[in-house]
Amino acid sequence: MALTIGRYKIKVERRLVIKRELPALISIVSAIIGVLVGGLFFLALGYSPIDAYSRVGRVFTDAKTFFLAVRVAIPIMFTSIALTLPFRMNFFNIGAEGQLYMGAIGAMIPVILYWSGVDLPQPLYVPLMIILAILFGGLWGLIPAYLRAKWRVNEILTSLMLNFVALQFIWYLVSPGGPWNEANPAFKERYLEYLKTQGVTLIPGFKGTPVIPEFARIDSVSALVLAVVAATIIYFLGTRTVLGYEIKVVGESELASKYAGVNYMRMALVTMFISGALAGLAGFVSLSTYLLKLMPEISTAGYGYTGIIAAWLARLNPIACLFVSIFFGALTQAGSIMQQELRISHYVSVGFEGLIFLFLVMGDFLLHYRVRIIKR
Amino acid sequence: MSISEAQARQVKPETKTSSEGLDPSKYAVLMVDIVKTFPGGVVANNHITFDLRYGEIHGLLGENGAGKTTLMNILYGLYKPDSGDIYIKGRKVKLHSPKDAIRYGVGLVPQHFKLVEVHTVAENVILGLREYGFIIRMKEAEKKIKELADRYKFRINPRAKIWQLSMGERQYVEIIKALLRNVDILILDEPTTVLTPQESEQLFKVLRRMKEEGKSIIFITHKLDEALSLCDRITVLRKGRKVGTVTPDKVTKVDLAKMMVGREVLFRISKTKKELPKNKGPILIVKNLNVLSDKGILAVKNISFEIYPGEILGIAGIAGSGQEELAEAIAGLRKPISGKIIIKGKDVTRASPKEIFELKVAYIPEDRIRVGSLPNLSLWENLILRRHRYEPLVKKKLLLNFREIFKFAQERKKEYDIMAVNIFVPVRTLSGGNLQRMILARELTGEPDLIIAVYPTRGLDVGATEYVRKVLLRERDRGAAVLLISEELDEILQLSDRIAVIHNGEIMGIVRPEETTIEEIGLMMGGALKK
Repeated sequence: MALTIGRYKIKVERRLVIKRELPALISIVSAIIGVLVGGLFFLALGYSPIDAYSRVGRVFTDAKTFFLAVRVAIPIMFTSIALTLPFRMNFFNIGAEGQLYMGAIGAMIPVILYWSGVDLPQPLYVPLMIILAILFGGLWGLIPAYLRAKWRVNEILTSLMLNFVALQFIWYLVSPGGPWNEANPAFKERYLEYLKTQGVTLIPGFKGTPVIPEFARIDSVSALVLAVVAATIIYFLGTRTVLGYEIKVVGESELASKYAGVNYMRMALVTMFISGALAGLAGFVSLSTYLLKLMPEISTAGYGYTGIIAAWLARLNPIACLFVSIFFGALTQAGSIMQQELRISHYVSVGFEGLIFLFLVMGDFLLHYRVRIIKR
Repeated sequence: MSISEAQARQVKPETKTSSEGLDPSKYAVLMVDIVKTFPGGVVANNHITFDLRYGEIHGLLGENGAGKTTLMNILYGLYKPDSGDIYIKGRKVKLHSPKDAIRYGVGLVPQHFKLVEVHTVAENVILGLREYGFIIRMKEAEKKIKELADRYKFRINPRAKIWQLSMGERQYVEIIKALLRNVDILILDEPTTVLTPQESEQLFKVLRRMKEEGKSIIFITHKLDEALSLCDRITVLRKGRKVGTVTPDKVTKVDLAKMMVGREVLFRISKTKKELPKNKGPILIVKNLNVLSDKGILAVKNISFEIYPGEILGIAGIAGSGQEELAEAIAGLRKPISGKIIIKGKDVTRASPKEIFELKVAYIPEDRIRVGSLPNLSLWENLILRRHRYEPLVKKKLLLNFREIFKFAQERKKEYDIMAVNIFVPVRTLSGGNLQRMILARELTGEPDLIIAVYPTRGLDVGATEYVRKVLLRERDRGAAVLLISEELDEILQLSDRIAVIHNGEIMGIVRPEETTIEEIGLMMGGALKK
């Protein structure tokens, strides 16, 4: 590839060797360039970029703000870790979003039962919610895997479309008149009593479930520990086990894997169950750490989609996913600081986040290609 | 063209080559003192001087990794040399891209064709040419293609889709692509690797006609016979250096092989005569087997044979006669529609590749790169493939046992002399011969009872070919049954204890090499004789 401009020639060459430190270096430089270009963006809108950035900088200097950033990052950690395995076997799971929704639905079941008057021993709630989130997310992930392995149906389309199905399912459950809506008469006795002790009343027309009781919530620190454990397990699975090896083999060449006797159906099902389960856990943590009610807005930040970018930027390394996710969380937090303190419109701050993503993804190109300018 | 013909006649027999004092205006191409080093320090071209006269066919001979393709990629503008000068038709040139090379009249027919399979011949040929307009004047292009085909006497249907064409025909499409770009210096990179002997002969005729018209041709090959019969001069490269330039009348095949490999090469591998141990039953029985090809056509028609331990059964036939499907069916990669496959007394007609592997069956696939290896994965990851589920490479059925794995990989690397820096390099960096060694190392570990070898020496250089053949004989002598599929009759005749000749999916007969002739096998391969 070459482009000639006047006396200069711009040539793009594929890098033959990629140095070890290059990925991190390129990511950092890309982010800095993104921030600089973002500054122009603010200037054009009449804000002082220096003021904006000094406030945003608090994300990293102020412990409390940083904690908020990490809290936002936790679901992204789960979705991005979830995607590392299927992406390694060239199975493009775009459905982490839907698997997250299903996981959240699964996790909500014990809570719904509780408000309907079915009691379980209290310490059982959290483990049960985790198990159900894993099952629901995992089973949802099996659908595109089975279709792909059985009839070669394109997994990108099926997994993506299932996101909308899952979202509509939540809408159905929680809309006024829906079976899980907080105003459902089934919850009346216990839930209204509970609300009374809290000093609040039902909001007419609210789209959401009853709130998760205290004993079924987890704090962000436990959720973070869970994410770190998940990343470690997946890292181990990917590098030290027969399964991880076979995932790599399938990703490298389906023909070779067939020849080596790897059963594609089995691999697709196992990998996608694990992937869906982790995405389902993302639904559980975002529900039980701070959202506390199942609502259609459970993934407004698009955790399932952000996870795709995070997984790629982390080069499908689950440990790196943790750090990339924190960066993304910080970015989201920066956006909300801008909104609250500078009164910048929500859309501008989302646009800013998008700009940084764009530069990071563009920077990725430079990892594989080198651009040379030659004077003729 | 007439100028170059005149110049072609002027050339005198060459004296000793020296880069100084060569007059660039006398040569179609003159490359002086070319050096090219790749990242990692591999010197692919080490001060190579190469000249191509007007109107000659110049063979460029060397083993895989000798630097032939690198040198030609420099001439075609794909690589930039670190130092050295290039003259084309007397003009000193700097080539920045293939576009520049084509402008100077240099065309390249790549070893792996770059054609769009679902498009027609004409559509492929005009791809990238502006003369045929935004709304393509297809009729005009088709006419041009017909003209060229008539001129050089080959047949091609401009409206045929590429996937419908044989490899030989595809080669012509690549040649037409070059010719339509007004190329008069043509580089062919190992053009006969994918051709049948008959197709190769046809190609040589076309090339000779092109030469008579004054075109200058560089013919990259590692096949000695071809170089000797086709070329006017032959330049031999070895390990990035030029060994010398010779004319075919002055050298023998043995001389050339020595120049190329740097030592004596055995062309005949001694094979011990052995009576088949008839008391043992056959390892493989194939009974009335019918197998479909990818396109759903019956590729294997009612084939039956058996192979005994300590025996090589060669399958001779033109590539694409059903032997690939036969091998895949036995390896469990393709399910037969009827018939039976029995390995060591066990019916495996519907068994999975894994079950068949567990019966100690080795499979050396036709496609080394996409089926036989995992190009971006490391040498150790490639070496443990198929064995990665079993002790001692695995602990507790699911954990990789790295100590055993690395030990296993190091041992295989050493035993089969795989040239790689270490066991952690991706195998895409290995040469073809080394890749095949890797596959042999993997497949032959654990003393397999049945070895299915599909075109095991295709595309390999002399040294690697010799090695593969020796290993197959060694395995036979150990007592393995070998199914050898090859398109090289020499190979089949040398190695096989019995030869089954396949034509259009049917076995035309099973003969013994000492009781048959090449002619007889040729007739059977062509379907003219059935025994």
